[in-house]
Amino acid sequence: MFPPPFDPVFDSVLELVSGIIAVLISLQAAKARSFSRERVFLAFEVSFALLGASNILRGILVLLASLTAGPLVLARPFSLVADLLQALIAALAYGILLWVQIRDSLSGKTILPQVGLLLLIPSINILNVFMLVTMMVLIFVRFLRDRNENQGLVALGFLLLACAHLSNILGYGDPFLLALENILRLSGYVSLLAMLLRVRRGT
Amino acid sequence: MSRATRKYRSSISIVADILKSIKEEEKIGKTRLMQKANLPTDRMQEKLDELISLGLIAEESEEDRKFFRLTEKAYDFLREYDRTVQFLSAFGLDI
Repeated sequence: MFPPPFDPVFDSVLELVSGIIAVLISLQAAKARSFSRERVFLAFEVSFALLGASNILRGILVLLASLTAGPLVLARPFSLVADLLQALIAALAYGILLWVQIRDSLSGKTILPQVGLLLLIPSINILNVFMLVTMMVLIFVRFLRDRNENQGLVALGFLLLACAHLSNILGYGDPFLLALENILRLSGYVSLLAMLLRVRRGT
Repeated sequence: MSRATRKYRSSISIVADILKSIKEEEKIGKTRLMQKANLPTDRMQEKLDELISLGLIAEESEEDRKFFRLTEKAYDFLREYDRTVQFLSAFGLDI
């Protein structure tokens, strides 16, 4: 269930060094913003500050956990919480950086707007796939425990919707995959409809 | 120039273009500067006044002709500008 064993001190040091580098980038962006008064640098300043803070926070949390908890097995859940925090903050920071890149490409300053959109669509679909698969797994685990068929239908519906998004990523503009995407999406919603009808019938 | 490739020049880029134009020729007259920095008369005068007040350029007279030259502060400004441009360019963006 947990990731492979690791050395918490070594992990913390690497994390702290990464965090310091991210903070240095943020400081350079702050300097550039102050010099140029261009708002674009604020995005870099904030996103790298967030990344740096999340790395340093995780580094400190893991180090503290390993020093205070003693055995690695006790430190592990603590580091998982730190991992979750780091992933959430990183998602926010990357989101800000992505927004800057997409806004720039849509403005046509450095790249054709279509390129930005063509890259944005699969990026969002990848995110959708991850969210749907995560929800599907969580609901499926409950289905295995409770044997509630409605949960099975919802898990199946989310799986089919995830496959529809995957089909969109793999074959953007391909007529066959476009048809497959629509069929998968409809199947996903049919599965959700089946759940809805069962709920309304009281089964 | 098409819409997709037309480039918006930020205020700081305009300042840097003016300073670089002066730097290339050491000292330069207003007409030549307008051509090199690609700015109309009114905007150029506005910018020149701003740069003089900021201490980035100095005005000199020579045989009834006016010239502009860079101050030490302008060289520092251009070094910082290049660092700023390189930073943004590293992320695939323009200032």
